[in-house]
Amino acid sequence: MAFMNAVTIAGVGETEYSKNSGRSELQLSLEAISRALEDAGIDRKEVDGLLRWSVDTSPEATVAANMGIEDLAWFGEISQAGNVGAALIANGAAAIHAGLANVVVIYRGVNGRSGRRYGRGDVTGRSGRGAAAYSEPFGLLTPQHGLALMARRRMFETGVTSAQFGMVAVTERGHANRNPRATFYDTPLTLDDHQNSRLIVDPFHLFDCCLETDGGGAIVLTSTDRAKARPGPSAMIRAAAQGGYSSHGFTDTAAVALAPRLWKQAKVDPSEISVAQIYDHFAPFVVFALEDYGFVLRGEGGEFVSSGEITWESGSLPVNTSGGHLSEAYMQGMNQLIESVRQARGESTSQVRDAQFSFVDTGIGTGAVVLERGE
Amino acid sequence: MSDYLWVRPANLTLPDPDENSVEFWEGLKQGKLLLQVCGVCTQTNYPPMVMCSGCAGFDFEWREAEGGGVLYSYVVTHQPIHPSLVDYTPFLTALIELDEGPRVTSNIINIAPERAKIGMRVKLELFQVNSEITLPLFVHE
Repeated sequence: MAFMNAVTIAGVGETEYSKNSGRSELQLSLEAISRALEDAGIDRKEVDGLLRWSVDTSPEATVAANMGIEDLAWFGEISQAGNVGAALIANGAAAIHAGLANVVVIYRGVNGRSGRRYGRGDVTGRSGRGAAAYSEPFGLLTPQHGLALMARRRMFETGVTSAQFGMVAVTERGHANRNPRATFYDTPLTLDDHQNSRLIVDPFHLFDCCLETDGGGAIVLTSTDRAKARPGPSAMIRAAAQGGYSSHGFTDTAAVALAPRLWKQAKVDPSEISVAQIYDHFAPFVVFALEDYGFVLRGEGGEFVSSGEITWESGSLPVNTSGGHLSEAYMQGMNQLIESVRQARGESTSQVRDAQFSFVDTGIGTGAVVLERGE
Repeated sequence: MSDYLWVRPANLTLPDPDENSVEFWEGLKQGKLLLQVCGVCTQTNYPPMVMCSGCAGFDFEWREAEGGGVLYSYVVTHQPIHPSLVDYTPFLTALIELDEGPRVTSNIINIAPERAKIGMRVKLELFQVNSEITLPLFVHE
């Protein structure tokens, strides 16, 4: 089936995360790419594939020119928005698996705080054209508006509460407090802080919302055979699947459609996953993903979170162990992909012991990856 | 009843009708909320589609909505996402499930945001923005 460990994430790299990087998005990507290649022990001349988010502003030809790539054999991008990181892994791995490229680099450089800001609708919103003609004129202006509308209905249907969402934020902050790279490394968060924080788009409080971050990240994919040159445990791609549109119900995330395909491909079931990174653009969606991927039954996610099951190290499924988008950085899935690699290799600041299978979703159903530790 | 009346932010996005939606917006100008009904399989679409997802047909008819529905979900914008919204928050955006089935994103103009309750009955109230654009808004009955 599909990948089954034939392709490995051989290297990861990132810049510091900040509110004002002071340099271009292109430079952030190139710095991260250099670190990822160094981590992989692969020379930049070996790179023959490039892959990016379509919202990334650094074209592959520009990146290739700066890297001195001699023959760019394969490249691509995936549309939508920040939510396609795992889908990029699936596509890059497919290119390697098909023999179209030998070393694929996935990159994201973004001045998400000092430059164009998602939270203000700088990147999406305010066109009034196409489908937006039926939403924006009534005030659904940013990604969080539509997601809050869905979250409210799901609260109504399942009984999940704002305080349970708050425990996602509190748990992730605890993980960030162990991670020196995290934006909120030095700042604790209590449930009272969450509940008393101002409403942004009700039902979302401030601390339900992800950060806006400047930074860069990169991932190097290659065949598992080629990746063996790097010493130590490795992050093999056991399964990777893409999703993003389904005609399921209003309160179903796209994970409802993707999950059966992922678990079938991986030949493992959710109970065998030791640690998970889940796209937390908004805290409630961690609860919804836990349910829609089948880690818990629908309606049980809130209790699962508030009873400590996603907390390192006592919980049965630690989630967003670097602090996630809420407390480490909002790198649109890139930092979560990197953290999933750390977990597979045994390098996390909140390392889950004996984590044979590591799960990462970067868009609540737009894409998900199961990594397996290789020795 | 309430004496609350929502004021629509002056610079909030207006719809920019395209070739697929011109009849819909023309209908509102004439005082009707039109639902697109497939001429073959009778599936009702909102917003209007280009091809019927039920039967892959391209022939549609328009049927005027009765105007009644219930509040299916809602959000309240507190943070002024854009400088033009500063004087208008908090405001309510509602998802209305029409009695005919389709769900319509809109605003309920006669209740304060904190009084919104899923399941409450609402009724269509057209709101003329200018000579070109009329929006389908709702009032709590």
